[in-house]
Amino acid sequence: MGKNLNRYSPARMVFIAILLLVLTRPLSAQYNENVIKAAYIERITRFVEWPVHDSLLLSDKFVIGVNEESDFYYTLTEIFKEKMIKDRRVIIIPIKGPEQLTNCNICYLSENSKPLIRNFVSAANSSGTLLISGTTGFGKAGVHINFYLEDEKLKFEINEKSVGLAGFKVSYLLMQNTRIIK
Amino acid sequence: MSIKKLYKAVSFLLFLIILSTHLSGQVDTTEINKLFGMDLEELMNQKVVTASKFIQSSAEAASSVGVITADEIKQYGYRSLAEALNSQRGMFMSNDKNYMYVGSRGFSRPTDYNNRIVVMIDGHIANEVVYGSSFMDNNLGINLDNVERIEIIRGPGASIYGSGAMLNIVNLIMKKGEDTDGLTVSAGTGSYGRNDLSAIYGKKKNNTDISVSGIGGISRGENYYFSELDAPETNNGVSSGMDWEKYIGFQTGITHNNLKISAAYSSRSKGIPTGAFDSDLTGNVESSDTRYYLEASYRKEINKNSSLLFRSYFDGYNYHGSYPLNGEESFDESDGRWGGAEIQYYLEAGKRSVITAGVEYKYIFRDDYREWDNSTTYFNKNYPFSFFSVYAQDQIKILKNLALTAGLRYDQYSVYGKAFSPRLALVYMYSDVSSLKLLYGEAFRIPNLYETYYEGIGIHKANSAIRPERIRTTEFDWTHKISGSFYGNFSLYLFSIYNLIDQVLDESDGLTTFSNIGKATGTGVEYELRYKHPVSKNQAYLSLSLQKTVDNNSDKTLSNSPSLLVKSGFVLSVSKYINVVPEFFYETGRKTLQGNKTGNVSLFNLGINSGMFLKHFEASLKARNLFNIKYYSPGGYEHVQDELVQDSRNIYFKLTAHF
Repeated sequence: MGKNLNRYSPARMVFIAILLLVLTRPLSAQYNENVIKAAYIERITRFVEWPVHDSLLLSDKFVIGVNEESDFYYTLTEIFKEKMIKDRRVIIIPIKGPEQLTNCNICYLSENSKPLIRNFVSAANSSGTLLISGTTGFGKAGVHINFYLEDEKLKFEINEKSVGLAGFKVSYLLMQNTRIIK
Repeated sequence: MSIKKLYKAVSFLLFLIILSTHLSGQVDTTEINKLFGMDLEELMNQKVVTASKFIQSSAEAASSVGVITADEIKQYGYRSLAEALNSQRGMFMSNDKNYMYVGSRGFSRPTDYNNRIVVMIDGHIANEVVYGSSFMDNNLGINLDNVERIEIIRGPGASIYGSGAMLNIVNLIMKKGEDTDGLTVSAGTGSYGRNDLSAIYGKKKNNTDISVSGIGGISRGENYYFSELDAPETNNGVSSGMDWEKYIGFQTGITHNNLKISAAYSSRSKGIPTGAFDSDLTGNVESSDTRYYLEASYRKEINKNSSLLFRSYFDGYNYHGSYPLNGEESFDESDGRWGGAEIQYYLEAGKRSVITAGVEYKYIFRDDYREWDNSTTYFNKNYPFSFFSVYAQDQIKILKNLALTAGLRYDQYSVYGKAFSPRLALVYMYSDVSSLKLLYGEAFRIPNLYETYYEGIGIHKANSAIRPERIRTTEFDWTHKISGSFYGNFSLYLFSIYNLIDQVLDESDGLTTFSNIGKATGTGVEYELRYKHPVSKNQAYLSLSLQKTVDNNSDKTLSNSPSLLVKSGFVLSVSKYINVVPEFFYETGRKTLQGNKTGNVSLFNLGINSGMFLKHFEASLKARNLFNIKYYSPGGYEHVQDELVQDSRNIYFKLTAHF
């Protein structure tokens, strides 16, 4: 028994630990839903033209609002510390109500915004804020882009009518890859 | 540990969890950059790990549910099913150095071979039919690296799964070939001569998905001194080189469209170092278990809302034991072979009702037990039996957020008569991930061959009048999101077991026998917190279980039943390269069969997991029982020892290569 413990002496264990530290590189990713959504948002902005009346277009910042200080708020804050959108620095801000949409290029709506969904859609269509969500039924309710899961893969749907009403121009390439809500 | 100390310990663990939620952890920028470099089509093909997915399905389920994900298996370095289950609220382990036992909610009869828990591999029942036992350790023969998740359903599940589903149903969902997409090979080495090898191969081509995994290993085991056996005829209580183990296991799943073929084989031999069943502490004292099955299933989609599942299987089991006494060889052996078929109908009737109904027939054509030595055969009988079952379950949406599930199963046994197993569940979902549940269920377990017919001359007598035991459980469950990635689960339960089957000594003739000893009641409350950082690997769990299980004949606590369990584990991403994984377990002492009590136990484990290196490799190091605490579990009826010492500190290193 003593012999065995010597084989796994603290010195040997520390050596193995140091060896691991020296030899290793970052852990391979588990693509969690929020990180993929963040990547999608960046990618989607490349295929969307904002309406000309969006006063935020001239700013040097790209503002993403999240209507709750949730996991996703935290994920976006963490990821966009080092990432740009349309060559602009990305600012993530918490949003409490539809009246704050004028400050955002994009607003991500959590499930909690359900009671105010019509107000959010109407405010977004007037302010030129691209609404994004990941809740069943939000696409039909007028949210411009809504994520959904299919076969454990994240897909999205676009509400064509709502996008038109807000004045966004969405590239054919993006429309080709999505489920369209007419 | 006094209440004050326990309070301090729990407060400290809670503080650690809260601290971990405020630490950002090390975010893996390399992989984020990789994702941001993908085009839309590539993004659409990435599999998503949804933080709330299992919480959501757990909240919706018409049961009290726990899930252990593949990531948790990897991060916490679970090496056996028992170890993984031990992280769950209300569950606890015992090791009699022959088999590993899992208790649930204060209930674990010594040497019950886990026959009140149903273990399934991709839905196939892995319990054998001779003793009804389920395997929790290397005898399961499953490479846990190939498990996508372990689902734990607490409480009776006989309304769907039949006999034995009394305390828990544990389903191991295996990874698909598509998930593995290549070859993974692991080699591990550890204390007490433990060495193992495992491999997984998986691929999907066109509509055919193939997954194959295997595992094999050996260990020398620990040496022991048992003061209770300190006599010249029992090697002065010294058990040296007797705790060895060797095992091998394969599992495969091949899916082509709606057809699935699955098969598994496991074989394990274990030295028995404890002198169980009056055996020697030297020589060839061992048990061997071999288990295999082949199953084919086909799902026929009738239309968009309904389908039929056809399932047919063939299973086998062999047990062989060698228990020499004073150098004289003595053996026993069992064979079980059975086959069956099931047809299940699934119907989504409108938006408000989901119906599952089915019929199953199982024929156990070999169910035998033999006992002999070099001159005499003492017992050699085969008791084949069969049963037919019909079951139905309807999940009705009474309101938008309120669902009622009602299920009933009827089993007709050729030997033990009939059994009805009803189940009711009322689930109120007040958000996507939060629910309140009121659950009621009944289940039964038929006595096995050994409990009914076994006769050992001068030791044990048969009891053909023995009846099935039954359990009735009522439970309130509250699954809820606390904030962000913080989830909680509260559970309050009451169960009663009637006609409990236990081994007793008949004082009139001095023979042991299995008998329906009466009624046992269990009550308890559990609370569990789980945290998973949204981006980094940081995660944590903390659970407390207060439980009391009483033998209603004597109004005394049942043996092998700890009254308090505290469990916690943390995955701390200390750098981009290393995760540190501390775990802490505390349990109060358990009453032994002789009426004594084992001591309270505080155990610490510590793991270190590496990232990927040299493109293909990962490594992990785990020290179990880090401070080498000496602790005990109650011995069984077959042991002279009232308490059995549990595992000492052991260290395990594993290297994995992905290709």
